[in-house]
Amino acid sequence: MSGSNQQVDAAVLAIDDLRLDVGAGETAVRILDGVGLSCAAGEIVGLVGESGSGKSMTLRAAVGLAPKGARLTGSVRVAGRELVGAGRREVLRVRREVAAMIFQDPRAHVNPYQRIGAFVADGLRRTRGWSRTRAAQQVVSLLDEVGLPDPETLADRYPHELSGGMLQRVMIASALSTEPRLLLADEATTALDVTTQAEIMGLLRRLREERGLAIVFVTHDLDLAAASCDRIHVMQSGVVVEQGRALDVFERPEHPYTRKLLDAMPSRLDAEAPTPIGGAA
Amino acid sequence: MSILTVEGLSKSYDHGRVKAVTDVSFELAQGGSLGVVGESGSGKTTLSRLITGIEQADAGRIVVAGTELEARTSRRARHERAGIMQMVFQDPYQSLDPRQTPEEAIDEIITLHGGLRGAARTARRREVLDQVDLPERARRALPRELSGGQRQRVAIARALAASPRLLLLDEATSALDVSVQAQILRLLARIRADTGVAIVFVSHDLEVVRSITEELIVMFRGEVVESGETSRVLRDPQHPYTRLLLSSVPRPGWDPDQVSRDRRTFLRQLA
Amino acid sequence: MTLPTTETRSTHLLTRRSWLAIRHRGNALTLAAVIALGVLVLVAILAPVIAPYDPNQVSLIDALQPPSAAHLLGTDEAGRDVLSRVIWGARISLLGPLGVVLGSTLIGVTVGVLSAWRGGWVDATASRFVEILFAFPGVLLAILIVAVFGPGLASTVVALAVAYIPYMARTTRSVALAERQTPYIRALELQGMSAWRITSLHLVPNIAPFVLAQATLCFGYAMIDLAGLSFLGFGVQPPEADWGAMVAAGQAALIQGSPAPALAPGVVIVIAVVSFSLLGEGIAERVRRTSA
Repeated sequence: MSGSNQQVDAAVLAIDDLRLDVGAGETAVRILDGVGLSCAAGEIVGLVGESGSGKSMTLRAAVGLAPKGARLTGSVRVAGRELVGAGRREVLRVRREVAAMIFQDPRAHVNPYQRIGAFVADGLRRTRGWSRTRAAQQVVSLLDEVGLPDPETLADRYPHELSGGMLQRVMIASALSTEPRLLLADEATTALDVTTQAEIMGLLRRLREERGLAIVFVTHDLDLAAASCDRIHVMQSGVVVEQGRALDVFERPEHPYTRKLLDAMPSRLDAEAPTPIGGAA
Repeated sequence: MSILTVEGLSKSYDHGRVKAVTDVSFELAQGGSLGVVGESGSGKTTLSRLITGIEQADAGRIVVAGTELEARTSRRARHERAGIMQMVFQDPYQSLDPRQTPEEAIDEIITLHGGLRGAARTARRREVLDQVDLPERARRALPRELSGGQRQRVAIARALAASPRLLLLDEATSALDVSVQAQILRLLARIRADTGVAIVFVSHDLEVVRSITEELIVMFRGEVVESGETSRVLRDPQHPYTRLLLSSVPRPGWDPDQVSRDRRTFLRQLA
Repeated sequence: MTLPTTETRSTHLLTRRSWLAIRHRGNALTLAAVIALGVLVLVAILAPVIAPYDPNQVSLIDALQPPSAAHLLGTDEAGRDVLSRVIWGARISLLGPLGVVLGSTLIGVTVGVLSAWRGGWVDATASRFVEILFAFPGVLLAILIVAVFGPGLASTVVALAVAYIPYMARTTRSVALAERQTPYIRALELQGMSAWRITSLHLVPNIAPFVLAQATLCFGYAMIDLAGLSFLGFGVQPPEADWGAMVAAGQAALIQGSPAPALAPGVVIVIAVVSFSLLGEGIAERVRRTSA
């Protein structure tokens, strides 16, 4: 796979020494503390951690979605454009042209009264000023690309008629509509069944190959990250405590926190459930 | 003797058009542990709602400790059943009264089911809260001041306060961080060893079920497609759906495309 | 299955903080309302101590005097000190609405919780009853009751308490319905705990803040309605000092060029009603925020 840490120039996303503080005075909280991360074209980078580790916040900072009143220092470069300290216009341009994001709960991120086709066409019509008919053709090919069956009829349906897995594919199609180079996935398979999760992961890997997408995949599931990503960053309380090739981190974890996290994976919990006191009431 | 017997249980919605649970049968011995595994739409949630009595089955019987569950339950019947079977739900925050501290919540259950008061109640309360390792300070805090793991400990303690012989856990660790989930699973294993309580663990997560149960049923579209000893089923799955489920669990070297192909083949064979 | 993450939690915190900044003005208004109402209650309690004159001391020689050092708000057409009457009037003018709110809350909460809990025909019957009451104008109902039982504070309070039941019942029913669906109530039911115990010990305490907000709003409305009824002559009877009755009695003086006897109680009514509304909104906002 492409991309070690040194290839910062080739990186579509390069985060360096990112700090994020919220609040002021005594109530100030440091959410991110010196986070570094890079993701090159054609690479899937996993960002793994538990609640409060700052993994989602890192992802949000990469598209200028840091919370209001937060103070950012350090550097976030998306396709060479610096976002820390950048104006609203610049951030919007990055979101329109370079980076797209998908979320854990696709249902919460669609307009329930908008047809699937119109939803996916939205980005095309707004960012490129395409006509309805021209966008509609592109929508069908996008829906087809993400593996949705019968895209013509699907475009006329409403979100509530689709399963969670199908809706997540729609979200991916919508994200692809602006031809991004970077895809940010925030727990994008967490709410899905395992078999559906496998399908979405297969799709993301295919998009990485075919489109050369750089994908940052945020998850709490180390097994999933190890199975799907090229490199992994493990975060704890706003700090990247360990990073490396996925298999190395998985098989030879160096940081105690990574080890603790791995030991907690249910697949590694000792299966010997203690023999209960039989028949005792 | 079995603590829970389910025979030919069926439940459908929308005038029979949606079959949520079809002809499900199993038996759980005293002190045993049973995992119920399935994806969304498998009927595992409906099954758990039927067993708890939140919903009534269309057909079949549920026998808890020798007593059959009646279709229309009186308060007395619910009370008696609660003395034998207790539940722990997925969302520990919403299943606690936001205005009640753990100590108060547990006192209430102890009085309701054991009739204990005064010093005897205090002693029993201490015992159950010790059983779930709830820190002293958390015992007098309100639910919103507790962490997710602490809340789930309280929910488990509250269930134990009724001295049940059967514990039904419905996705009880799904909302927790992995490290907290691991703690709760270890805690449950210890409680089983200490009290001999039988458990039914409903989950979407094969790995979690592997770590906590000795027997397993796998559900798909309302039916039990495979059942048996947990370790055997997971080591040597017989039904294609169980195999598909197992191959879907991500691990290094995993090929999601292969899983997708297997899934499509499996679904095509069904049709 | 949704994993709660601290990321989302911390953004909540942030939005809440900026919320507070925006809501700061709202808080100041609520605080002002609390202070105003506190002063009014204090005035009502301390009336015997702080009122400069006996509110019912008639002195026809002193009738309709303009405000002066001796009579800060002047005197009315019977020569009574307006300030003293406003001060003493606080007692009845606050007690009346209190009675209305207590009565309607007690019955309204009972009806609301009962229909939310039992559902079915109980809910259907209670809802019809509430709808009929809604359709019937409160003031008309009050006039009917006064016509039967005769004018006076007691009958108007009872009449308005009945008229206000639907407001309390409807609010209570909707929040109780939502609360009834929560897993913790379900869990207690599954324990075999009695409905009475669950509702009185768990459900009602948890919806109490909503009820309080609604009751506070009703307090302000009840005050206006009572003053209106007094003004029309159905409520408090002269010479008893009551703000509504004082506004009515002050009309004559108004025509003769002495606005103080009508204006002073009128202004106090406005201050009190606005304060209750602000406080009610303030409580409702707080409840929304903490339960969100």
